[in-house]
Amino acid sequence: MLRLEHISVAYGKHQALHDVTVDIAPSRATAILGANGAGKSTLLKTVAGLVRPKPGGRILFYDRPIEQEAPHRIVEAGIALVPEGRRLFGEMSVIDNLRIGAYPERARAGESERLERQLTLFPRLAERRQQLAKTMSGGEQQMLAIARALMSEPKILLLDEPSLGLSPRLVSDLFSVLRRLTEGGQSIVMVEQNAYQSLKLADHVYVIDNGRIASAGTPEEMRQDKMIQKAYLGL
Amino acid sequence: MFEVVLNGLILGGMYGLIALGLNLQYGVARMLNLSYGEFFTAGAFASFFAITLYHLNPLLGLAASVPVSFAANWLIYRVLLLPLIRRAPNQDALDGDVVLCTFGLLFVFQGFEQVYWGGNVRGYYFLSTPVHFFGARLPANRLLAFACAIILGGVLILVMRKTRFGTALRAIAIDPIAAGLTGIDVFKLSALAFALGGAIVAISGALVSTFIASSASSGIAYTLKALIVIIVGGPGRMAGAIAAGLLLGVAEQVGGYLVDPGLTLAINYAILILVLLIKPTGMFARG
Amino acid sequence: MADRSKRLAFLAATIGVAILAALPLGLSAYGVSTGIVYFANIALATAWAFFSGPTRYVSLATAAFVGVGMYTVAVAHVSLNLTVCLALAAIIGFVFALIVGPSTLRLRGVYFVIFTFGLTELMRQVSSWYEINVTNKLNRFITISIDSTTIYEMLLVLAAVAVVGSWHVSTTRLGYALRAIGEDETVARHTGVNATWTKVLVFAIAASMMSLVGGVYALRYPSIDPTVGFSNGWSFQVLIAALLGGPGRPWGPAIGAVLLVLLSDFLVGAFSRYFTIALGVCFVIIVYFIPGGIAPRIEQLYGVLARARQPARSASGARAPQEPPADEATADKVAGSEMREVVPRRRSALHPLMRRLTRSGPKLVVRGGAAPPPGAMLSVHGLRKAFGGLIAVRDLSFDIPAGGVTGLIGPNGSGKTTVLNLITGELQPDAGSILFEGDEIIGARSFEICHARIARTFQLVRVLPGMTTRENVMLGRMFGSDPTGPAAAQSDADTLLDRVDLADRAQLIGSQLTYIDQKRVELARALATRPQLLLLDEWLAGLNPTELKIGIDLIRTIQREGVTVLMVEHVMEAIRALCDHVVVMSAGMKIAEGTAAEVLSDPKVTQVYLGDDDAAA
Repeated sequence: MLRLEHISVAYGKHQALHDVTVDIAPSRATAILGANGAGKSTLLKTVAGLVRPKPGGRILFYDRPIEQEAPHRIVEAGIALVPEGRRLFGEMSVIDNLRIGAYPERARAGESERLERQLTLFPRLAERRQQLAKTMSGGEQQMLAIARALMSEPKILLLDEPSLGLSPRLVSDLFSVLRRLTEGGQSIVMVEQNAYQSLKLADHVYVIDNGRIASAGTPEEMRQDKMIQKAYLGL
Repeated sequence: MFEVVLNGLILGGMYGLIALGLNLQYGVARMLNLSYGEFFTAGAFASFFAITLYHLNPLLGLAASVPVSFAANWLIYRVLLLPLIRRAPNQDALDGDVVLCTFGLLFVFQGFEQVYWGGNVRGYYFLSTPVHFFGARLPANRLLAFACAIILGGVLILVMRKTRFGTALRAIAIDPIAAGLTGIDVFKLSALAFALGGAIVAISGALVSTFIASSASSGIAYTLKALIVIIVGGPGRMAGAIAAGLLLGVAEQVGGYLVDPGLTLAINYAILILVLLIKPTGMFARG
Repeated sequence: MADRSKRLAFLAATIGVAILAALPLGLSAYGVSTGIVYFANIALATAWAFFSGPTRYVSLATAAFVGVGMYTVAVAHVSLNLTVCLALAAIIGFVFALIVGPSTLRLRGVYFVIFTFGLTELMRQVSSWYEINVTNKLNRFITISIDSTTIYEMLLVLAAVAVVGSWHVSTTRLGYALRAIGEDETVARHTGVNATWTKVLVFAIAASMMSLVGGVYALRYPSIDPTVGFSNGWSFQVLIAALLGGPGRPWGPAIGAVLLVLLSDFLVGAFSRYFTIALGVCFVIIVYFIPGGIAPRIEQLYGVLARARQPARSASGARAPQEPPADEATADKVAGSEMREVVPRRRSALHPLMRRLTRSGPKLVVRGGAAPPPGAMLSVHGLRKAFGGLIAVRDLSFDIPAGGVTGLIGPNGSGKTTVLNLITGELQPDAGSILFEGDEIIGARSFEICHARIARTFQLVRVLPGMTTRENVMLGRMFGSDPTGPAAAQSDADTLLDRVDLADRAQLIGSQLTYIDQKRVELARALATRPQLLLLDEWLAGLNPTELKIGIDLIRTIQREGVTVLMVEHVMEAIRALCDHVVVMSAGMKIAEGTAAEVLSDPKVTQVYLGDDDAAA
């Protein structure tokens, strides 16, 4: 349903992605792994419209090209990004952060049911409805960022390093929430450094190295892959 | 003393009123529009012409000035500022470009006003009858402006807090990139906020013109005043703007009464310095 | 060759000034007064750009300083002779700027603009109030009679001094410091530049020139009042002139000033009552179509014409011609200018502030008064830092043994970079202590930490994009723990560039370098500060296997030469190869410490890296 064809991205002189082609199938969890600076985040930012690819590449969402669309149009089309660093509206309450997540026209009907669903999925957010987002702990902020993205009822949820800065316990909480989402049929694409958790969750894995797709396959295949072990533990 | 404070509050209401529009332009759309005050004078002139040329209620001038100012500001954002936003490598460069560009506009508008209005200071009388209020005598036109400031400020606060549109504007004010990622059309809403700011300043121009005469060159002074109010109140915060306006108004009147009325600007400036040094995010900004 | 053309330019300029100086003999009164307007604007615009050009602080305080100069002369000429009056004007302008500078220059962007604009307004109102209430008359008469030819000559001298002076300063340490601040103030501070003091000093020098021009200009008027002295027109006119000409070049503002006066005269003639409108339109056009000013365009044109002769220079296109070129002849000249350096000398010892902090009982004492373990170069104890609800570092303690390579590892977001920021004074901790060779360094500013001989690189590479590779490295040498002038710095920089294999790219500007080369520049810049402790923030990330091997060898050599290294790193291969001591962080806490082999086989570490218990199996 989401297909990147020959995507290249450069920041000035620095080429972050070289001719990347990726296919994302519906109702699956796709993990994108790779070392720091390999271009994982750039990939998600390009899909979300925050970064423009070089001419020649295409991004097709249900066969419709979206590579030149503005970020809000991409959300409207059904792709929501949980950005790196969460980017919550810190001066706004939890509930307002969630409500603004349902801003796209497409997501306005059924806003209140979806709000209830998020509050059930993330009970901590229900307890802290009126609290300002910036006063919450790292784990709670990450949950809120995911819930906010889900409020737009995305067909694909993109997650950029969701486990960033979380303690091991919170990381396993996070992944169990993600597992519940995928089991409910939510398509997920995530960029992660936590290789083994991602491999457990994902149906399909891409490995990026120096801006290129280095390998792709099922988690089982990847577990055997020396590159992963090397990139993550230097074994 | 009671009368002094009361006068300060009335004056402060006016300051808050003047700042509301710029708070939408600068606080939400992040564009420091130096030609802001020119739309204030435009509002004042429309009212002046309504009463002097057509012998109408001066506030009917709003029927002309508000839509024109709204449209003109929308165009300024879409046609002049948007290309600058798209081209800017960073916020600093953008701020510089916007300041310069709107400064050029300031000249253009001021030039037109000079041509069609002349260099004179012009005012008129409207509702200048005094009203007695707990023993204090207050001019009705100033009370009207004060009431409008409170009503307009209240409406804006409610819109920002309670409506989807207002929440989206707050989101843009906090983080435009994250706002785009939640599906908000940032440029479209920023243009609307910018235009709305222009409409509001035209209203404030009309109201203030009932008791303060204006000239073609008085616009920039109001821009500066509005900026001080916004910086003290915290950019993007409507309640902050009203509160900061009241604070500055009272401080000016009380300071003028105790020290010297010639030093009002110095008092304003001193407050601004204090706020910037102690709490650079604005006195009424949270956190 | 460059030296000869520079001499020629200097000769031409001298002849030009001499001709201009002789002109009044043959000029009409109108010609002389036009000249006065030109020179005043040139001097003011150049002074404005001297500070605002490199630092990018848009100041609207010009009128405040001009007014101070005018008032000084108006008040003092009654009892003092003119020379003394003008000297006083310069001094008072300087002191006034020194007083308002420190608070004003803390503000950035729009706030600074408003603040400086308000400063003029404030001065006008306060002086009006004073004149009305204290002296009882608004006008001050200038009773000195002086012919306009003398004013013309004085302003000509000031304009020439301003242009030549700002040209000259751009080749001194002060000039480099200013450019570095404008490009990236954080990097400048971490490279040893006392950014606050540099900004205030230059702001004050520019203000002093403005007051001097104001003082001379006042002599044209029969009397002055606050609306003449503190007229915002000055601020705006000067700003427009500098931007029109191009504030990044010492001669840009002068060109802009001349063009602006010409343009205004033309518009007044052509449009008369529509003058303001036409001026505004021109202004908008400038913003859209010549954003960098006219000077760079002229250079581009010159570059096209001279391409055959100077291939390298015209290719970069973005560099000023007055920038010190590589030639030794120029370098000598630059060295000769060192005597006049205004930035105070640095000492390699700890900054007095730190000494004071340690002596007078630092606010945060090591718990239990424990002495640092022998051999620890840096000792972190009970460090804590929270951002809102996020605790980035909690109760962290570890030592960095002297002479070794210590690794700081952990998943992204575990607080490693925050620790580096706390050590280098970029952030202030909420609690804890950091002892460097036994001295508390918490509370010291970044440039003092650099002088104390701790250097760093940044996780996201921060090469100053508008400076050449060589200049980037020279900064470290010029402002580090053992500072030198530009000439000595240049030869040392070249040695370091050779070491990191960048000698052939010394003339490329930062933004033209590839990612890997930028990383090398950063390392060379950090080494140029002559550190005892080097903090590397993921310096090896993103390197290919060959580059990684070279990088590891380089770090090894640096350590063997006696520099202690702390490296934040994800590349485990490098950690294994280099580190004798590794600290592992997760969610702000230390979860393991020991040798590389120990920590990498620790189940807790495998768990945070891999995320699950079964991963270790």
